[in-house]
Amino acid sequence: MSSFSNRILIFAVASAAAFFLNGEKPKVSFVSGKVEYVELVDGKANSIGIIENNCSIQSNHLIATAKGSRTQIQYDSKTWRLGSLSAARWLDNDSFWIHSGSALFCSEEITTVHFSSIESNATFYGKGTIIVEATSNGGFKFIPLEAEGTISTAKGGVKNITEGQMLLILGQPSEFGDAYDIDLMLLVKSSRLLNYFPSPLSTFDQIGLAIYVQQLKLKGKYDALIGDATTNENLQLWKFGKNTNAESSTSQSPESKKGFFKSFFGKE
Amino acid sequence: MKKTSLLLALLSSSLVSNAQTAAEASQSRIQGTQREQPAPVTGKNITAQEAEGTSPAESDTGAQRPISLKKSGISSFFGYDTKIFYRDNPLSVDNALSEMKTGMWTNTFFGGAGLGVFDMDDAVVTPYIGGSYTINDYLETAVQELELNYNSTNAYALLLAQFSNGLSGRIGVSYAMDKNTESDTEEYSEFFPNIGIMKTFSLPSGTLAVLDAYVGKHTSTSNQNPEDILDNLEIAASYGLIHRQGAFIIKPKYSLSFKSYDKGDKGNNDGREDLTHNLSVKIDYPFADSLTLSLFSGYTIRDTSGYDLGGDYENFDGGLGLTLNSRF
Repeated sequence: MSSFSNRILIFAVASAAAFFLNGEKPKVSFVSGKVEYVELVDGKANSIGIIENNCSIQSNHLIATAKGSRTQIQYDSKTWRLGSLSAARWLDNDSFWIHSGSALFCSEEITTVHFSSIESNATFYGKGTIIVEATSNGGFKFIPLEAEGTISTAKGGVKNITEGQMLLILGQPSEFGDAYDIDLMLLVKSSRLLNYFPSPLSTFDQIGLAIYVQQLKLKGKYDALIGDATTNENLQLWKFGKNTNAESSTSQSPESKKGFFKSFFGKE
Repeated sequence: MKKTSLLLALLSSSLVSNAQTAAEASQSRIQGTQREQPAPVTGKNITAQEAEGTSPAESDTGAQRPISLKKSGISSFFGYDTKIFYRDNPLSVDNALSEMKTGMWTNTFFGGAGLGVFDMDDAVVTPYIGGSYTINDYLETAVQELELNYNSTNAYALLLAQFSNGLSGRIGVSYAMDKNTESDTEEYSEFFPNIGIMKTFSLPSGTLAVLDAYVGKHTSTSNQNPEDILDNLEIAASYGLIHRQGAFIIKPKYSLSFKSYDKGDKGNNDGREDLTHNLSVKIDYPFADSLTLSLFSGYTIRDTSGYDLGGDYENFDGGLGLTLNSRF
């Protein structure tokens, strides 16, 4: 009887240890297309391997996705998704580094995540669903689809997060660039990080509520799409409508300022 | 055709000479009037909201279109709606008078305001107030001679809670009043405190399904009845589909309403129960942001029990509508 109890105890301890050890490493839960890892030793590439379902990712692995390829990674209670043509690292449980491309973070529990890119870094505290996209200036876009909490940078201090408001994180020491309210409905409809995965995000209902709130507060839409931040001073705005040209200006007129009759009868 | 006109002329002349019958016709009309619940979210219907937006170009992050938002969350809307349609049974009766057919022209001016957006973590609460004024004109001469034309005033105040699971709940009170335009007298008014729920579902074909239910108490005043004889408890539910087909938005809907009366004498409203079925189809063509042309039809059957004066009727409506709506 005593021997049986000991065995049960050993099994329980081993299971718990295995669970926790397993929980410390990000695990791949979905792969589409070609996703590879580069093992880094002293900052240099040592070996290259293929990422497959259920494999664990080490902190010295740089994950890279080919064109049209994506992957989903489960890290404790957090869900991460990496878009195509992206390169990123999960440095530890609460640190994520993005070299290029875009990624999605989702957590229903309050947590701290240090987001960093080639040039910039910011710390998020809270919970929610966030997309980060690396920009050409070395910084990144921080797009909370639905979230509660704060974001802080060394130079910019602490800011409360507003759902649907894109923030640019720039420079080193990092600061906040301009903030833009963006059309969540359009973003959600057109985002492959949201729609090209087999299972919906656990926060899908909350995203729906954020869209609902934004629709209630909507005043007007600009006839433009935000592109890359090529430098800390310039953000590409792709104007659509009659002409489709890339512009570095941020001074577009909102639809609500078209004039009385045009706003009444004009199509979007 | 001539025979029908003659019959209608005879009926109408007979009715005009009989004030009591005209009053009964007015009461039948009042009891047959279906008072729609307001769509307070924006003053627009759900379809109009769904129709917004551009066709997005997909990317991993998604299209990032800048928008401007109101800081306060207070919004207002107003609009105008006109309908011209055929009504098969304008007096809502099940006797010879049901042979009277008419065209109708209604003109509605409406407005309202959302008084803020309150985020409660798993729900968003929004108080609304609004109102409308409708001019209802009968176009058929025989019906016109009954002097039934009336203006309707409606007002409502409600609290709407939208939950993250797609369910929304509402509690509020609405007021409705009909005034006869010929005699300039208030024929009917009611307060309607009510509570309701709505749930939307996305179907695989891209169709949106809307399930709605409410319960409320109609507390009425009528100039031709003892004060509260038309009071009733109403339980209603509806199931509708919203499907976009090219430039058109097709909206079939079935609704069921049960009304229970407990005032008046036995057989004259006390113990009366109305079960009303309505099947309707509306096709919207939004040809501008704020302007929608509609083609609509609806078939109504009311089955009444415990009422000595009849109450059953069938009616068909079909016609065209134009709605102009603007948000601020």
